[in-house]
Amino acid sequence: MAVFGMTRVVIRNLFSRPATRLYGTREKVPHRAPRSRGHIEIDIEACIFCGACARRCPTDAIIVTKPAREWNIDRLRCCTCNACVEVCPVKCLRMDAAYTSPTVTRDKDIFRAQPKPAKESTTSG
Amino acid sequence: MGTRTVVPFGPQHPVLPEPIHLDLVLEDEKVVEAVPKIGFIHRGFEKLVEKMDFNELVYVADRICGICAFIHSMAYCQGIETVMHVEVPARATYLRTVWSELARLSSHMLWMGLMADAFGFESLFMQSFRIREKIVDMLEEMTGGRIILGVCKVGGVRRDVDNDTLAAIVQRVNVLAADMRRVSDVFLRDDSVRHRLGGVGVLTREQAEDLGCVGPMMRASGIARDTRTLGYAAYGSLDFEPVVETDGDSYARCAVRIRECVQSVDLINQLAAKVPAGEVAVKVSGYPNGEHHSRCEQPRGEVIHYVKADGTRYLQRYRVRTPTFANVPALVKMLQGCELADVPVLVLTIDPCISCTER
Amino acid sequence: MSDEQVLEEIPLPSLLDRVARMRTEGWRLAQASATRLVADQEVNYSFDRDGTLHTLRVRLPMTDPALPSISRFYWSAFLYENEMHDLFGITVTGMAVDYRGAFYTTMIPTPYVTREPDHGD
Repeated sequence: MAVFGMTRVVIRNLFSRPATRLYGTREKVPHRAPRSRGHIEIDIEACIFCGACARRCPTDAIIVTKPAREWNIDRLRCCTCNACVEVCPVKCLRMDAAYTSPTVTRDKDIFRAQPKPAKESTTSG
Repeated sequence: MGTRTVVPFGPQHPVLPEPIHLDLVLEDEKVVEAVPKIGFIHRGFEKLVEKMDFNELVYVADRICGICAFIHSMAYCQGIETVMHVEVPARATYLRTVWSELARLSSHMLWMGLMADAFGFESLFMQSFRIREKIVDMLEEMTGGRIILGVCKVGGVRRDVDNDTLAAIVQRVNVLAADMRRVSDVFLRDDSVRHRLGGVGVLTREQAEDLGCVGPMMRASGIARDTRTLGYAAYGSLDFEPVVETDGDSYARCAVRIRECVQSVDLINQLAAKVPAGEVAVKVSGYPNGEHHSRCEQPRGEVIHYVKADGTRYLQRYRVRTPTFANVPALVKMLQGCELADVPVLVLTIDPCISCTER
Repeated sequence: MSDEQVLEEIPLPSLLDRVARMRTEGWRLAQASATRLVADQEVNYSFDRDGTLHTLRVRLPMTDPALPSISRFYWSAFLYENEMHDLFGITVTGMAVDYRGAFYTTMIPTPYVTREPDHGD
């Protein structure tokens, strides 16, 4: 009979686990796949400050300052498109799967990813 | 003769996935006339050609829609590739087609959920979304994104999926197909659903032709046309027929979409069986010069991406004509003479993707 | 792609006759769009039948562009024409449903008319 089709589904659901991910109560880390696009990480020591990533970024989220040896990214502008990772000539950028943490500051604030001006002859820790 | 009242429907309404405004002129409970107003989500995408070069527009194309995103970027890339005479490697076309079909599945499951929500069947809505969640999880594992995949580029695709992973994904899709059939059986055979959908919003074959409907709207009225038969991407080597019903009412459209889900599962199996090995992208150099109308079959119908370039980095024109734009006149015609309680069903039966419509 | 695409440029006075002929020959209106170039504007009407896409193109001047509406042949064209009017400022006479500029409510009128300065390479 065509009226009780859904009843079977409902009864089956009553006796099985929840279909939703119990993020917040049981799972503390959000579910991500290895390839998920989360945020950009940089190995600042390997960066040569060529600026290719900044030129390629479609949302102008990356600003590279060569004299100050500084690379900064506006996390809220970054749309995790992976263009910078693909264009980097020394492969110092990579896409990490974890989400960025929430913030209360406006998107004009720039999150500095390790602005360590490394001198030519010394390596800073 | 009752008095006429004008009831504003939308732009914020629980049943609408995206904002659209309808001014419904009612006589008692019957809708006499309906005037649509769109434009609440107009973002001026087409003006971005002035700022972003033709490679960066792929990211824009990806983000036109929040449901059918991948096929937009594929249609754009195909347009640019045709203008620049770039031959995309076979493996890339197969991967693009697999992702298109998975996107079609996820979009149809989303539509089924929203339709169930429109006529009040909340648990069916949740069941459809539970299945859809598994599909977008598969997309995330393959490409990194759930809806906005970000894998298409001019010249191919940006990510490769090795054959073993692809076979495992196809296996999961087949398991999911049985689940999908249980849920879609409720749509097709449950009496209460039939009462809500049967005979609502009938479009005859002539009306569907005159109004320029595309996609499941026209296929449910008996017109056997499917843009995939043009043979773009890997569709030329696949064996399928357009899914057609003849009744032309909301039930027929529901049946078309459900049968298209089954067809998509079959197509994914066909693709995985013959995906060739090789590169997934070719290097593209130079700038496009020329124009082309690139057509693809989105879950909602035929989408046309028109690109016009003059040999510089920036395109002269990029125009997207989405299927919902072509289906809105049909919505206006169907609303004339319907009951007020059927308005949500009619709005959802065209599968409105208003963010696509207005770009 | 193997679909056939034909582009035909026609003079503006013959637009309505050609569209009427397309209608009787069973073509479906696929899209209508306007493009603003350097010296003039062009409006494309694309028609589809059996997989072939046939585009009719008319050229319009930059100042006071005006077109007759084709919505008496294709009712669904009123959407494209209202969009052309609101975004490009093209006057279309005789639309089946005329929103009189209220189709897209934008902060500046006819936003696609002004163009950002051309970028150097």
